[in-house]
Amino acid sequence: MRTSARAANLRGILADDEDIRQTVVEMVDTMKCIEQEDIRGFRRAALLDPSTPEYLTTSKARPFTLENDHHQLLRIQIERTDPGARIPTDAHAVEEISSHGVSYATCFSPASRNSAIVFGSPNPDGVETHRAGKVTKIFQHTHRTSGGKNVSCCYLIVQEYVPMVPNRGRADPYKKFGFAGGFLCQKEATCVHLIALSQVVCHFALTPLSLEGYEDVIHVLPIDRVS
Amino acid sequence: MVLALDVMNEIWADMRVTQLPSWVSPAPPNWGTKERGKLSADNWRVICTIHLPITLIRLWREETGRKQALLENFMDLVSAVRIANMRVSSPNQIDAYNKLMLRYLTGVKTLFPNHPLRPVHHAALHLGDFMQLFGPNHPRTSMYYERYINFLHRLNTNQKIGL
Repeated sequence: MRTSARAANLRGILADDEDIRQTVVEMVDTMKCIEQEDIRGFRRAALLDPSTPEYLTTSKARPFTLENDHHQLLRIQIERTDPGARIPTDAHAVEEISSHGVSYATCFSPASRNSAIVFGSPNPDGVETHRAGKVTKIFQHTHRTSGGKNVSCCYLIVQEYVPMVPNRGRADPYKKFGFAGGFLCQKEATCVHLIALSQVVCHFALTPLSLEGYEDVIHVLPIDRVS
Repeated sequence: MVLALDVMNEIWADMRVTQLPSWVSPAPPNWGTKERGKLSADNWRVICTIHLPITLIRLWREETGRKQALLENFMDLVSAVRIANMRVSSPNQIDAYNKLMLRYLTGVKTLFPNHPLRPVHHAALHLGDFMQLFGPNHPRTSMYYERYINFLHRLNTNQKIGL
């Protein structure tokens, strides 16, 4: 009796008051977003749930056309595994993406702190090397495989911070301490890479440094999320 | 004093310009002062594994003698902590952890002969065994259980136990 009376009261309030109705709609939307959050720490549950997506986009997808050089990089990336794939230039850009509870964003977005990443990429000899860079674009793209199947993936355009080259007998003092010490890179990100989301290794802490004998450098300290 | 005011000023200055991912809770900008007081375990972890290596290696890169020994000893601890916090473990990582932790504690005994080792140091030497037996540490840390509590807090309930 009490439940039905309260429900009737609530319906009346919602029907009468436009402001409250708007507030409730916003509240319900927010609750839905929270419910869909990519919560970290449930890896086993995610493995067993076939409906778990590989990644979640936390911003609206905006359709755009890939620039020629980015399309060329994408073609190289896809044709490594499927030389006969049809690769359109249409894609959907997003500002932020979340994978297994870790967010990655472009350096132009409000969450630009999440744009500094370490990623794996093969060098000209084909050996996988870890590099540091900043994400300039994130997009979802669908291509048709040579078998006629549509495959959707998420890709990142990354500008690499090139590691500092030792000069005049000055080596990188951080490298001595391995992964816990990090390494120095040139301040300006230059070389452009296109990578799949699976190639992202971790974030890094970026610190612009002024060191005697080292000009225009940043310090890169790879950090993996622990909690 | 090792972390004197001049060193602390450099650490605070580097902290101000360090860009951290959003999931890292930044340490208080005035840590180490009387006004700030005590720090949380997470604050200490961020300070020791991120901020101190950045500044101390920069400041002491050309030092020799005790400061160099202190830096190398501290970096052994940082490397061991970072391995212990990784989300995956392997026999190589466990070996590296054991080797680094043992080297760190041996270094502590040499560098600070008047300070006895504490039970927490003894416990740290067993962490490698736990990783060997049960895998990575992160599912057994308090953060893991706190995250579950947070998850349970967010579930809608009818306030009636068992129903």
